[in-house]
This record gives sequence, C-alpha cells and structure tokens, in this order.
Amino acid sequence: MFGYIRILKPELKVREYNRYRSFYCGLCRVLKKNYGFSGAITLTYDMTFLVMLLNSLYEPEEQTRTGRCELHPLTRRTFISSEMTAYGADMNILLAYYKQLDDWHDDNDPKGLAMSGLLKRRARGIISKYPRQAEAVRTRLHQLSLMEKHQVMEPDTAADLFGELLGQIFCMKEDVWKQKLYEMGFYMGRFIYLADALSDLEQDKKHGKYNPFSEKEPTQEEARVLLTTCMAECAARFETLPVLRDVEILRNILYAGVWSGLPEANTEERQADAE
Amino acid sequence: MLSKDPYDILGVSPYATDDEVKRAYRDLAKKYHPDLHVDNPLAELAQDKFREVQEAYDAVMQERASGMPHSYQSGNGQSGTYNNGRAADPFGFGGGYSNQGYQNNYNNNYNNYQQRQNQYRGESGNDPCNCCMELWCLDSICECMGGDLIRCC
Repeated sequence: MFGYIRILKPELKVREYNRYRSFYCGLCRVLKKNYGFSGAITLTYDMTFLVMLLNSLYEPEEQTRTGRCELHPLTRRTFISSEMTAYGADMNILLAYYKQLDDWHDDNDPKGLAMSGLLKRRARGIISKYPRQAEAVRTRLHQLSLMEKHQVMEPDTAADLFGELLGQIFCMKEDVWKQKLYEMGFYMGRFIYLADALSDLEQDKKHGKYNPFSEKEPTQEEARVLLTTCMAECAARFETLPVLRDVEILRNILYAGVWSGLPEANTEERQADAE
Repeated sequence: MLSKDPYDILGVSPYATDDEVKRAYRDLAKKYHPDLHVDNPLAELAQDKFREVQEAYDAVMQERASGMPHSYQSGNGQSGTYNNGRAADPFGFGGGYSNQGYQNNYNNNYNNYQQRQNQYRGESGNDPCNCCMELWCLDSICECMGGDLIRCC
C-alpha cells in the first residue's frame, strides 16, 4: 500500500537528493530511538514526504547530525530531524499498528498478531497524544476491512475512506492550514489506494483476493484519468501553501515520483535498460 | 472580509510570482505571529494584523487558483523538467507526461491569464495610430493650458 510517494531520483539535483536522503535517514533514526528496531522497520517513503512537507510549511528548527547507520556501516550518513520528524514517526507507528491489528483480526495472519503485539505499548502513547488521528486511522481501516469482508466492489468509496484517513494524518495541528492539508492528504490517499488496487488487480484476480476493480476493470485511459485527477487535485492544494523550502524536492515527488512507483513505469525502465 | 487590496496588505505587486507572494506572506506572518507578542501591549494589534495577512494570502491564492495557473515563474528553470520525465507515463501513452489532463488545464488557464494581462495593458493595445492620436490630444490640451508638449505639432 505504501511506497508510491517517492522521489524520481534522476530528476533531482545531487544536493536535493542528499537532503531528501537526510530526512529519510533522520526519520529512521527517530523511529529507532523512540520505538526500537520494530519501529524502525515501519519506515516509509510516504511519511518521509509528510515530514518534509510539514517541515517546509512550518519551517521549524532542524537538527543535523552525522553518523553511521547499522544497516549501512561503510559510509557516514547525515540525519536531519525536527519536531515534524517526531510527528511523522508517531504516524508511521500508528498506521503500522492498526494495519497489523487488522491483518490479525481479518485474515488471522500470525504476523499481524506478532507485530501488533510488539507495537501495542508504543502505539498506546501515540493514541492518547493524537486522538483525532488515531480515531480516523482505526475507524477508516476497520471500514475498509468490512468492505473487503463483504466484497463491496466500490473503488470510489474505498478510496475516499483511505483519503479521509490520510487527510487527518496530514493535519498535524488544527490551525489555518488544517483544511488545505486535509484536502491534500485526502486526494493523495485516494491516489495511493487506487494505484495500489490497480497495480494488484491481476494478481488479486489470479488468487481470488478482494479487489474493488475485480468486477469492472477500468481501461488504461480510465485508469490514467482516475489517477491523474487525484494527483492534480493534491498538487493544486500544495501549490496554494506558502512552501518555499525544499519545494523542488516536493514537486519532484508530486509531479514525477508518484508515477515511477507504478509497475508499468518499472517495466518501461527495465526495457529501456535492456536496450 | 478585506477592506484593503490583498496585494497592498502583503506588500507585493499583482504581477508578483507565486514564490514572491509566498515569501511576502511568510515574512509578515513571522513578524506578526501571536506567539512573538505574548507580553506585548500591542498583542491585539499584532493578532489583527496577523489575521489580515492570512486573509490576504488566502484571497490572493484563491484568485490565482480560480483564474490563473499556479506559477512556475520563479525563474529557476525547473518548470520544464517534469514535462520530459520518461518514467512519468506508466500507462504507455507516450509524450512522457502522464499529467496531460492537468497540463492541458494549466495551458488553458495560462492562455486566459495572458489574455487578461493584455486587457490590463489598456484598451488601445499596441496600435500605433491610437498612440499617435493620444499624443496629439495630449499636446493639444497642453497648448490650451499654455504649454507645448510636442514643439513640432
């Protein structure tokens, strides 16, 4: 589900890539420090984007450190973090916790039980600190799992649910930017859900798994319009925010990177490399 | 509801780029943020000013979103980059840019914006006959009042 909100590296300047990487590593470091190894493995590109977006909007004080990472011990890394990194880490854990809980309750997936158990104590603190976001994640994921259970083939409704979930996560605080951030998160959430469903459609059909597009598979053109509309609306909200810091990295993600994670794009790249 | 022109409140020209508007907003918001005036006797005034700046920014961005394209006019030359992104068309439509719908909307809005700009430049446009007529009228009025704008007329 997560991983679509990424950079398109060839289109970034080296300086910009290094800065993005520093935020990614910074988020991982905060996750590990606050939530241990089980927290660090929940790291996503999507939350890295959120951290950078909020960082650019609020321009808090940044802490920059260099050091070595256990997973990449050969080179020194730069870690950038701020108040927004802590928030991104908390949201990462929240999403991971409820997702694992759902996997256990719905599929009796033992990994879900194990992971949610590991994250439970850590998630409790986050749930009490961010009740609005926690409630949104809990209820929307539950509603999505009910749709799956009852085989409800309404991709738009499902996408809206995921959009509402991400919209609430994007609103770090209830301030003047609340509405714009919510709408941005909402359309991005719709994009993520629909892109994931479209990407998995073939495999889901083969294995008889739930996919809201199973009954009526959209044409390529319909799929393109569906996804483009979501990102267009998301980007339109973004451009109204007074974001100046790191704006080219964020634009790289919103206008180019989100498309590079789709399987058709990877096929194109592999074919081009082969040639 | 704003009583003053939002551009005046932000201290920028109506033709300022989006980045310039955003920079102006950020600088003013930082200056009048309530948290910076907690023990200040003028705290209420700062708060009013902060709210005014916020409303002005919202008004400008809304106006630009409805009639004008969001601007890539920051001059750093990045605007063309994503139009040529090879990986940006996963559904194989060619042309390299999967946001075609959004790009078409952007182009339409940009054309509307250009037309509106031409209107603001005056009804006379760039017509030399009108320009000449206007200069002659101005010279005649000047002579009536005892001066002489254009000596050879």
